[in-house]
Amino acid sequence: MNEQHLVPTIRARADVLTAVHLTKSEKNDISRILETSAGKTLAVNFHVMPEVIAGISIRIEDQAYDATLRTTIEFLKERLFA
Amino acid sequence: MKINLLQIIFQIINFTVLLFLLRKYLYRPVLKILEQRAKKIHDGLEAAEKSIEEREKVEKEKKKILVEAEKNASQILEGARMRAKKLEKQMLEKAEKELESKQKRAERYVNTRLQDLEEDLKKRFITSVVETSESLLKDTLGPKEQRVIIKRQIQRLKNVKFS
Repeated sequence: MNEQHLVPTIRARADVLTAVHLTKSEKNDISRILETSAGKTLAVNFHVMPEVIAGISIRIEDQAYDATLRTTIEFLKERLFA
Repeated sequence: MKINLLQIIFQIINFTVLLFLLRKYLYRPVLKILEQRAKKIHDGLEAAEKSIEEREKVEKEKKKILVEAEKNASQILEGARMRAKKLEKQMLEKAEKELESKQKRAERYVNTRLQDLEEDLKKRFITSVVETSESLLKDTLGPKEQRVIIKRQIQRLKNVKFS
């Protein structure tokens, strides 16, 4: 078996932000889903920031997915101010 | 009684001479004086009449001037009254316009202030609601709820495409 096929090449970095610590299972699920979605191998870094209140925020290179409660509240606030 | 003719003749001559002398040296000058006096009186009367006439004329002129002056004064007074009325009207109109303008400015100011206050109140209210909601969510969302949310988010992630 070719060893190069067993060691995946890291092509991009992904940052995952949550309000609470994730379980190992959750981290694995997220990493797998992200790699499938991005179509490439990722180096996923998990960060904990209670200020986001709840939900997940993801950044892969110049793309972002924000589903935190903090962002939802900020969006709602902006709409109310408008 | 004996009449002396000579004496009579002498008396006649004497009387004639006297008459002549009286006529020449007394009667004429007196007459002249009288004439002069009469003329003076006449002149004086004429002058007095003239003076009266002049006076009447002057009086008439005076009356005429007074009437004209009264008429002029009346006209001037009327003109002044009309100008004063016009000026009063203009001043009133100006004052009304200024008042209206000031009222409008005040209304605009009050409306702007009200809008600002309303906006400020709205911002404060929204900020307060958001902060309270955040605080409530932080207090309400325990580890169990966080896990549920994370699970749902993971499920939703499957539908997100990263190119």
